[in-house]
Amino acid sequence: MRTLKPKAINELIDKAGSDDDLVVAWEPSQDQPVRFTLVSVNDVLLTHDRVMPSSPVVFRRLPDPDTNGQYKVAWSLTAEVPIRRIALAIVNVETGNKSPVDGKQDMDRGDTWRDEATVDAP
Amino acid sequence: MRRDLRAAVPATVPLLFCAGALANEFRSIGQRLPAPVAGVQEELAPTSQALASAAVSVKQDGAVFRASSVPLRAVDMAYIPVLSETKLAVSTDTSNNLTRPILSIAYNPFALRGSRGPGGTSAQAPEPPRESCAEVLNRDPRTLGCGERTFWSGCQLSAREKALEAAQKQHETASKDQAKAEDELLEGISHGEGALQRRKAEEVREKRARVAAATAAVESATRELEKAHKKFDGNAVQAEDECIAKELAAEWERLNSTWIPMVTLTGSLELYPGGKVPNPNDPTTTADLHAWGGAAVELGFLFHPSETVTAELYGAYRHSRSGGEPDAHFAKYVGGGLTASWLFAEFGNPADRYKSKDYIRDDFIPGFVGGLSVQALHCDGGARCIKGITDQWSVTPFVDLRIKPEIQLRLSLPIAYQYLVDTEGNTIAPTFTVAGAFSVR
Repeated sequence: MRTLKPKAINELIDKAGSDDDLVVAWEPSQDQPVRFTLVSVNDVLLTHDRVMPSSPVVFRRLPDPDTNGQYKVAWSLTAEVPIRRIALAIVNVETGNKSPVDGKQDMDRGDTWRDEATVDAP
Repeated sequence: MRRDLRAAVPATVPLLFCAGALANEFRSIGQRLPAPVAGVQEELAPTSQALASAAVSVKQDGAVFRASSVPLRAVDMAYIPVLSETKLAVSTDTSNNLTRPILSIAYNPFALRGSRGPGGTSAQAPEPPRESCAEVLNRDPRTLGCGERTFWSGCQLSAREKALEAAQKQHETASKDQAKAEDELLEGISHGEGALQRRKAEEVREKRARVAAATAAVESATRELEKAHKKFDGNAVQAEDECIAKELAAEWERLNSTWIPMVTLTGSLELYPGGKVPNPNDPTTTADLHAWGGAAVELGFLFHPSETVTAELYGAYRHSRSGGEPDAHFAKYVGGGLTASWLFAEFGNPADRYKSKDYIRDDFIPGFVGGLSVQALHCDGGARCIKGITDQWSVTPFVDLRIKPEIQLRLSLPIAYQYLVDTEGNTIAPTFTVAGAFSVR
């Protein structure tokens, strides 16, 4: 086994995905658990069946957007305690540009928010 | 906000005033049980996540207004055990002009924002590896979690959509080929080239067959997609909802199956209106009313050994006056009690609790609850004690009918035994009381 040089490492990492992150944020944020039943982008399952205790949750280096430069985001989120508002957005780490995906208000414990949306890459 | 309506029988409430009154305000199982002791005022506590609540209770001799708030729920900050449960409340009783500012702290292992009880945790688990449709589709759907199953269903659709797309492309290509061949055939006919015409005619037949096959493939892929939609559209959502509800319900089950108690420490002050009134000993002069009525403290333990059994144990100490009048003096009260209740008849199958929104949201199980409350209170003040009662015991069997969180009825039979003293402090006679009480929330 040989050591990979830094340049090769960078190339490999650059190929591993886009420069875009998917951010899920909600309020109140501290110790307000939300169940992530499913989050997928372009038919890649990013996470499933996890209880995330606090906002935000960031999925780094999304898979590349499709040939039209778009992301198909699917999600199913359940509030474990009442949540005032919650939103998803794709953020480009290089430019800071955002593509809002969707948002929701006033979720009670047990309310599930599931949907699918196609957005342009930021 | 909880709405209270109370109708109490009989005229006298033969229960323990001090301990009972404190208990009413701060039993944090407010969302689970009506008042722990029959015949006393309705308890008041915000639900597990509410910021504040308030209520007015009507009694035969007046009304009680109570408001309660958990101030740290107003700010977006991390859950800190004990501190985050700090509760402020105030109660005003028009029957005796008593106002109580109250402070309560609690260790609540059942807090949904906390560590979710013994063995439970809401801590972030390590991220699962990213999976593609191809990987998930290769797995047995019975081994998948709630979200994976939904994803699996989505992948099934996605795969069929892609198959239809591919078939449509093939059809398009074949149609173009056919059109081209037919054009060439027509061109051959116009030039009268017999051999070429035959070859082209053969080619056109072949292209037409290809188009027909592609059309059949498109139709088949469309049917497959429609079938998949029919199969997955409603079912996948329903299956996921059920799966999530079961997991949320399991959280209550875990929280309510332990002998680790919720511990509540409550302190309250007692205030009466100030001012001057005619001196009871010399009506020609005036005397000051006592605005300072005293203080009380209570320590309570709430046990939930199972989903259907609840036990509460508390002890209380109070140093206070019987009223704000100039001749009311301080007396010491020591009391305690135990209340146990059991949900003996549940409306519905326990295995189906997860189907109830009230259960998922508030841990509410409809049914009949039977219980027994035993309380005792001793006052060492003789004639200075409230109504001259120095010792009291009460046993109160009760039955609750729980229909919805907003609709709960209680039928109880307080059996009280008390010693009274005359104005000189001599015991007059023990009194034995049996009465029925009915309360509605």
